[in-house]
Amino acid sequence: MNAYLAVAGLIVLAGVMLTVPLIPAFNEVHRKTDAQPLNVIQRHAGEIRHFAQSFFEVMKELKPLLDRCHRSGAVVRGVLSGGSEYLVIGNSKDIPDLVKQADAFTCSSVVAFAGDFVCPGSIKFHQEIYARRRFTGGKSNQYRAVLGDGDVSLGPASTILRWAHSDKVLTAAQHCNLYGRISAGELIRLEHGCSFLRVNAPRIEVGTPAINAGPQISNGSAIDRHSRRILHDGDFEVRAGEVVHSNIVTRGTLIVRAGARVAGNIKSNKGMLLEPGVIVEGSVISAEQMVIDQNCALHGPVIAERKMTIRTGTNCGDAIVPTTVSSPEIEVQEGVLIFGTLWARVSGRVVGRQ
Amino acid sequence: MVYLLYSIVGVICVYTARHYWFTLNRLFGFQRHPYIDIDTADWPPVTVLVAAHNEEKVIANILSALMTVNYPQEKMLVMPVNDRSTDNTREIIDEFVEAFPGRIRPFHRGSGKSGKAAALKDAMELVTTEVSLIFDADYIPGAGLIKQLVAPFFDPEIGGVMGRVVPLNCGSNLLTRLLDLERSGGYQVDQQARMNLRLVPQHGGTVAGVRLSALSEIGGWDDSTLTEDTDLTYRLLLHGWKTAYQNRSECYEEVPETWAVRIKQIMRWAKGHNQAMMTYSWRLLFGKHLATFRERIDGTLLLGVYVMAPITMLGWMLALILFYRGIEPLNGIVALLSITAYAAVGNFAAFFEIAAAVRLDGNRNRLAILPFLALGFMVSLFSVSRAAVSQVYDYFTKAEFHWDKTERFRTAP
Repeated sequence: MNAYLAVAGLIVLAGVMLTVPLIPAFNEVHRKTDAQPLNVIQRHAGEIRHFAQSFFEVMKELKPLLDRCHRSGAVVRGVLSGGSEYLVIGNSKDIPDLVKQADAFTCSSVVAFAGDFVCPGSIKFHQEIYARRRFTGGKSNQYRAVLGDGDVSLGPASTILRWAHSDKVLTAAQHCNLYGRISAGELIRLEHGCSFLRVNAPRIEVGTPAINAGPQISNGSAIDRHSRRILHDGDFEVRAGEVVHSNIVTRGTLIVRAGARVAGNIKSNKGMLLEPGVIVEGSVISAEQMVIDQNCALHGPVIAERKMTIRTGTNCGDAIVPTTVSSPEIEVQEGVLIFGTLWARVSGRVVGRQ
Repeated sequence: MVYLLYSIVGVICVYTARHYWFTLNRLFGFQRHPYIDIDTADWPPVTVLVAAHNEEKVIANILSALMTVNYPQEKMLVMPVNDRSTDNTREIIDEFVEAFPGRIRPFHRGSGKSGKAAALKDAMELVTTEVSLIFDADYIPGAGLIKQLVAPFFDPEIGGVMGRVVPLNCGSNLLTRLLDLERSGGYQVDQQARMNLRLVPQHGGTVAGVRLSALSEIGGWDDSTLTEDTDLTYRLLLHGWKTAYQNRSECYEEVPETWAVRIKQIMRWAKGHNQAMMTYSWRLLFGKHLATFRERIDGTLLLGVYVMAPITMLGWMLALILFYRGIEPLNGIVALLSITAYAAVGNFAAFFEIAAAVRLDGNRNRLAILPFLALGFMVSLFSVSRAAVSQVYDYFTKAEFHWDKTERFRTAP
């Protein structure tokens, strides 16, 4: 074989071997099948009521029908403009027959209740529920989502799969499982044994709130409190009854002994313990676990990066300045009062008083 | 000479291991987003600084976006920092001031030292709020971004905050697509892993925030530096303040669309970063200060990323020289050097970091263009090395740094 030909052949072969693996790359550069910018526009910015508001818009088209059914007590079936089937119910006595399928009680339509409604138990609602007035759910019901213009009461051991919102008061009886977003315009009550993830209301009562003598502290954002800070490279302790006018940052564990008051923000890079009756005027942040003992009063955001326990009588935020309480795992005893947001990323549970 | 090469390969291996560690952490480790859930709070007053030098093409976009964010209006003041613009930037800003009375307070800077750091330094003298956020004029913040960037300041240990930058014009050409991949790896994996591991997330100087009391404590902005963000990161660190990275606080930016602009940009970054390395590395590693042990190590490695380009090139030269001199045990070292070099150079992440980042972002087909990153790698390698050499030359000739603004490609509205 001619030597030049062999070299040329080798070059061509090498070129082909180098190019073939790049064909998908050239193809993608040419066709631009995945060249859009990452979608980061935060139109709803994590708004907890987003789904409830969207569903409310959908329900507007049923308003005349709801008025009619409320007056007549009739039941009407139909299809929404978006294609979903709906069931408008004017009288609560009708529902067992409407949702009975084989041996189980299930409902696959969007259900709109025209008037006050007491729902029997053990029903699975596969689509959203809209209640124009008071809604009282039975035991062990399973809801995809519930929207109530009035009070919403979930029966014991009920489950919310996606979201629930009441414009007034939302009550979850014992052992409810509340997945997704739970919100209310006025008040949310969580009873013993409830599990939750994301809860938001001006006032969240866990069990029956204890009377906490803690003061309302509403004179400016936690961030504006004290540029001065104590930075401690190790464990740190605020003595019982001591008043500290400073931010506190510790690289180790932080213990605030009973009755102490911190007029600033506190942060620990390890565990944190707030003993009974502690008052913190600013934020409370732990990079690991946090235990907030009885009757504490915390003004700013309360964040634990691993786990948080809040005991009876503690108040987080106040009526004037709501706040956020957040941790992957949260255990809240009955008798705790939170103003604002209670957010457990992985699991939240209401437990009994000790 | 052999030992010098061994040392270079050793350092490159350290950087490679670091990239692997970050990627694995991001894929399988505990992810820290401690402040992202703060959605209800007594939000503090905040000043949003928008650095603008001849930004007529983009300034209206960011001001419009800032007027629609969900931060309490009465607590947010927007301060466009119009730094000696000679185009219509001033007129556009003034139109917004008129349209939104009381919400925008412009700072028109007609003279003074050039550069973003110098402009911000002057503007900060007018700021009275404890929290300031900083955006470059080509950024477009989403509705919830301001709250997300303010939230970390509820932690009294946080002195600075950095959000994630996402290229808006990524589909323009091959360069923008490569830069999109680099940004993805750099933020989605590199920065978030440093946040997860409590290392040193870097303040980027835009889509970012700073606490006024922390800034005062460290002596304010240093206008003698080319990269005020890197400088700020390290001064905060040395004074016991942390920088928090918020991966879910994303904001669009415009990336360079021509190689010439890109080369200029990365050379400026390299010079600024190397400047910070000279200033802080020794002190960070061995000095008496408030940084933790792991912050000392990671912070030093972070300071060294741009100097790795000339070091890698030196390694290649040494390897070739020694190879032709017939030094036997080098074969393995040369192979190691070539494989790991890719993972060590410049501020962009290695290919596996980028692949992981693209996956985490939920994208797929763009992974196909990963091989073209070799092109970007070579351009960066030579540009960053050139920057380092010219920096040494400048040092001996006492030449002053000068700041080059990155050219914009968006069409004015």
